[in-house]
Amino acid sequence: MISWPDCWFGNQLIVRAGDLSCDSPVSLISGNSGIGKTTLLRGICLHNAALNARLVFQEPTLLPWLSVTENLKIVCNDERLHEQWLDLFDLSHVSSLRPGQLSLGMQRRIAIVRGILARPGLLLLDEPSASLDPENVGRLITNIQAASTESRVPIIVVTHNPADFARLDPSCYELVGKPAEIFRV
Amino acid sequence: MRFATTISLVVLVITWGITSHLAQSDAFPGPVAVGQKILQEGANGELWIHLGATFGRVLVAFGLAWAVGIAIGVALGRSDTLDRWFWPWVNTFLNMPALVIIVICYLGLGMTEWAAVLAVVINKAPLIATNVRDGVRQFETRYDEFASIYRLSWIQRVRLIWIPQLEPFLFTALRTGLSLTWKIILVVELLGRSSGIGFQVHLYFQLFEVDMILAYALSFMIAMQLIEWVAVRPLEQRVQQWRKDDQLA
Repeated sequence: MISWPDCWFGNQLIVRAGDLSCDSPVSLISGNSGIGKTTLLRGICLHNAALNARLVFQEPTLLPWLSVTENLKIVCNDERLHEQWLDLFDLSHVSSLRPGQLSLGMQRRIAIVRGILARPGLLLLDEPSASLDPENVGRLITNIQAASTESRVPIIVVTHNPADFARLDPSCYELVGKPAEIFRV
Repeated sequence: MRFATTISLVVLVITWGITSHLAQSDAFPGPVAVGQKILQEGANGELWIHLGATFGRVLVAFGLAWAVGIAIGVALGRSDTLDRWFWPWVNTFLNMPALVIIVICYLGLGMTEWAAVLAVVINKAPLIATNVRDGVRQFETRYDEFASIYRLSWIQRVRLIWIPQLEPFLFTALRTGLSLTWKIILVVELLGRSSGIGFQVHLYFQLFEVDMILAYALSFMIAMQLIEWVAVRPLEQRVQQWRKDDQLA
């Protein structure tokens, strides 16, 4: 069970306190744009620090002055694990390149690898399919499925396009209202 | 050195030669006369002694100004409270005439080496602090958030996130700081030291030997330019390579 307190932005209540069961390997939280999905993810991340929760941002936030391998080294020094995960995500060929030399889809997938290499107890993905073409969304879903199976880490994805993730057979939740509340769908 | 730069410098020297020839004045010697004096002073060893003395002061003073300026710049850039309270202080020192600070340091501490260095540090640290403060204020908050969520240590934050974002501002501070530091050092030496390029300029000013004044000043300008070509620019190109790669991609 993952819970969170009231989530505020400044002095405005955005998302009410709640919880979700994580009874599937992947849980999906959907909602309209601007409803507070990202605020909720930050709230979950902060409130579940004991779980070692790690957030993969919508903007990949890889450090542009470091190569892919150097970015992974920030959270994990085991180069064998880097190779293993890059191979699993079909990204071995870009390990020496810098983020600015990669497409947005590749950067997102590397950010997910970095999140997993940080050995989280809970992985949170913020709009991972946003601004990607269908081909890249397909690759991303395959990678998230592989990450879930291999790492056995519970994954929570927020998205405004839940249809993209149907293949993962997730537990689905929806944020509605203002301030937003979460409901199982 | 690029072809255009070489040609440009050659044209400058030729222009200087022609102007000097037309002026026909002891107060404006040409490049050949000045070059001969440089060779003469180099051969008798005087040039290296004074060049070394000035260079040592520039390194110590600039190193200290750099360290103090970066510390102040980071503190003001990261904390709005500190910035509100102490930015007016930095701004005051930024606008204080260098000559006034030099005279006050010599009067307060005597004609010592440390008074000279302190005068330069007080003059230059505010400029470096201003550059660094502006750089820190442009840090991207998403990298700070990443560092916080992924629990990066302070050393990792400084080394991997802060310094790379500060690099362009540090190089600007290095360039402007170095060029201004050595000019202030010359005034410091002229007013109260018994060695260095500034001291020699003062000496030959009293003897009205303009060719010697230009010989010493030009030697140091050449030395500083060599530092730019041999050390600063290659280092800058190396650490900023990722920006060029990104633009190409």
